[in-house]
This record gives sequence, structure tokens and C-alpha cells, in this order.
Amino acid sequence: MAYDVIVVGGGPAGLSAAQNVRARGRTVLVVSNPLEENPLWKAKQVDNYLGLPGVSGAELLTAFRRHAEDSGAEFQEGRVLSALRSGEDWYVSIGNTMAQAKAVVLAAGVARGKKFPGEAELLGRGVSYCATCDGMLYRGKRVAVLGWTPSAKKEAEFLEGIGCEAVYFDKPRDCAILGAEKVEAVRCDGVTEAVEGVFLLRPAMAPGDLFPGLAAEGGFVTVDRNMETNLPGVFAAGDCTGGPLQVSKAVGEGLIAGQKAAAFASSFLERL
Amino acid sequence: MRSKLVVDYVPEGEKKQKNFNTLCGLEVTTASATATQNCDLNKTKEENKMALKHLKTAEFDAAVGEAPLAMVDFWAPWCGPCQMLGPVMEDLAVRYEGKALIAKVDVDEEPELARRFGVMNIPTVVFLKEGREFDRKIGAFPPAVYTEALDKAL
Repeated sequence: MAYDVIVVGGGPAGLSAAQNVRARGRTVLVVSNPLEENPLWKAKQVDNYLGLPGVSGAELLTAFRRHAEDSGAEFQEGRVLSALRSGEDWYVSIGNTMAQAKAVVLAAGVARGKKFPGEAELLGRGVSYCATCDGMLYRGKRVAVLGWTPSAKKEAEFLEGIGCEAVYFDKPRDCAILGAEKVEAVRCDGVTEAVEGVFLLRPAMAPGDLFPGLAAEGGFVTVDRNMETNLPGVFAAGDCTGGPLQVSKAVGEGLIAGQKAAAFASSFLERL
Repeated sequence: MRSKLVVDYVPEGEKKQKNFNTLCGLEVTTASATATQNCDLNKTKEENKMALKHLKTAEFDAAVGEAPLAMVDFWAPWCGPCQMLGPVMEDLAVRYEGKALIAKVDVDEEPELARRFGVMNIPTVVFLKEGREFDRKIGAFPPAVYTEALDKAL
């Protein structure tokens, strides 16, 4: 499916970006986890959002989402696994589907958690980030699913459904993936399980893994005043660009990123 | 003081039914069927499809062994990143026609080949010289990553 702009992340920054893309008359797809999985959803009281003291995180998110939906933004639930630019388009894969756009706004929040020992080394030899992609290659095998969201649990059920024996680790803190030539076991918080595959289903992929070559410093995406990154057509907004990790800042950055992404997409139309 | 906002949120998944659509000949599931189909990128789609070879297990060794240089994309239709890489491979097939064999193997239809190459993630792109593997890329990357590996071997 082709859009003018794809927004990765459906929190305050992403929803603000989407609404502003629509305000400029361009089409937009927002890819995100369910709203209830956003970290802000759990905030009982937000006291520094101007004009709305004491509002809850869930109320704010719901209002933001409705505003973006009413403006005509489209939504797809899922995790963006990878992105690449070919020609003048960005191709973005979302679970077992893909979408394309001229511009992308990265607003996926802070990717919490570093890579575990063995994770990078055993990628392609038992380590996977996509149950729907690679699950079939592990049929009849014992695999571990490291999940941090309710959506991850559903992916573990999917693996069971296609014939894998899935061992689920719920929000593990400290893991190591073990094996020399390929994955042989995983150890999480003191529990070791012998498995042939490990599916790591974090709430979001780290920005640098999503966009190879993306400039970042101290784990935060480097942007300029236009919220533009070093990659053509890629903008970033919200917590992923750094602190303060506050709603107002995310919404403001989302506005700039949305407008600039819409303008970037429009520049292709004008040339035609 | 406490402000009130109206809350009547219905999760997206419960509102919309997923529709099947085709995008550039690929079947993809999307949240909505309203956006227009856009296949501009594949201007030379027919041409690309001819240059790109789809290999079966029986013909694999002969085809790859004969080629001085080959790049094989192990993929499956249900995989999002594979779909994303599809147009890139089609484009590269045209650009390297006569210089390298650019091929695809559907791991669902050819499980033995996938096993033989130890493919545990898709897409996995394997580079071969006269049938011998010398490099592989796991995951979907920009075209330059593949052209660099090919050009080094040419």
C-alpha cells in the first residue's frame, strides 16, 4: 500500500505528526502497538500538559488518537521490522505486510533495553525478531519467545499454532543467548531452557536497527530544527530524539516532523 | 483541579476487518483497502520479472553452478520484509543481467534447499561463485548493500 507518509509509532509524537500530515492534505499510515501498550497509558496523572492539569495518560492518548483518526489518518497495528529506500520510496515492513511512502516519521519512543549477549552473534542462526516471518522454519522445534508486550504473547500463540513448542519468557530482564554455531539455549533471569530458536519481541526495534546508517548519539536519534535525520525523507520526533521525555515536547516535535514530512512528500508531486 | 476528556476509544483491531489486497502482484494484508494502488516503482515490471529467476530444488545446482556469480534470495510470501525486498531484487536482476544470476527461492515450496543452506531467517540473501557460497546477508537492506557484495566479486 502506498502513502505519502508512514509514521512509526502511535504515541503523542506519532499522532501529532499524523494529524499534521493530514492537515497538509497528504495521506498517512500510522503503524503502532495497541494504544493500551503505550507507556503513557499507565500514567494516572499528567500535570504538565498545558491547559489540562491532572489529566490521565489514557485520556490524553485517547483524545490524541481520536483527533488523528478524525483527520483521516489510517492505522495499522503491528511492529515495524525493517525499512529500506529504493528509488524515491521508503519500503517499510510491518509483520507479514509492507507499505511504502515518500517520507517516514520515526516516533517509536525510547527503545528500552540493550542487546543481550549472543543476540547479534547468533542472528540468522536461531535468533529472530519476527515470529510470522521465521516461525515456519522452526516447525516441530522448541523455541523461546522473549516478550515484553501483550502483542508478543499473541505471537507466541501463533508459533504454537503452527507447530512450534514455545517457551514464553514474560518481560525478562537479564538474558543471554547461548550456542557456538547456532542457538542451543537461552538463559533469562537465572532460568535456562534448551531451545533451537529465540524470538525477541521487544515493543519497538532500536532506530539504528530499523534504519541502517541512521545517525544517533547516546542512543537518541540526531535531528535538526526540522526534525530531519541524516537519511533522506526520514524525520524523527518524540522520546526517540532525547529528553525531556514529556508529552508537550513530543507533540511539538511531532507537529514539525509531520509538516516537514508532508512537504518532503509534496516535493515529489510538484516535480511530476 | 482535574480536567476531563471524553473517552470512547475502541481499539483499531476491533473496528476494522482486515482486507486482502494485491500490491504490484503480491498479495498483502492491509488494515484498509481505501488507498490507491501504486506500482510506479515497477515501471519495468514485466521486464524485471523475466530477468529474475525463480529456482526449484531440481534446477538449483545446475543454474547456480553455471553462473560465475549468483545472488539467491530465500523468501516466502507471508513475510513482510521479503515483500519489501521483492522490488529491489527485481530491479537488481535487470541491472546485473548478463553479469550475475539473480534468483529467488521460496522456502515454503523448497524446504530442502532452505535446510541445506541453513536458512533460519527470511529474507536471507546468499552470494555464490560457481555454486560456492562466499557471503550472505540476513534481513532486508538497501540496494547498495547487495550491489557492493556483487561488485566486489565481479
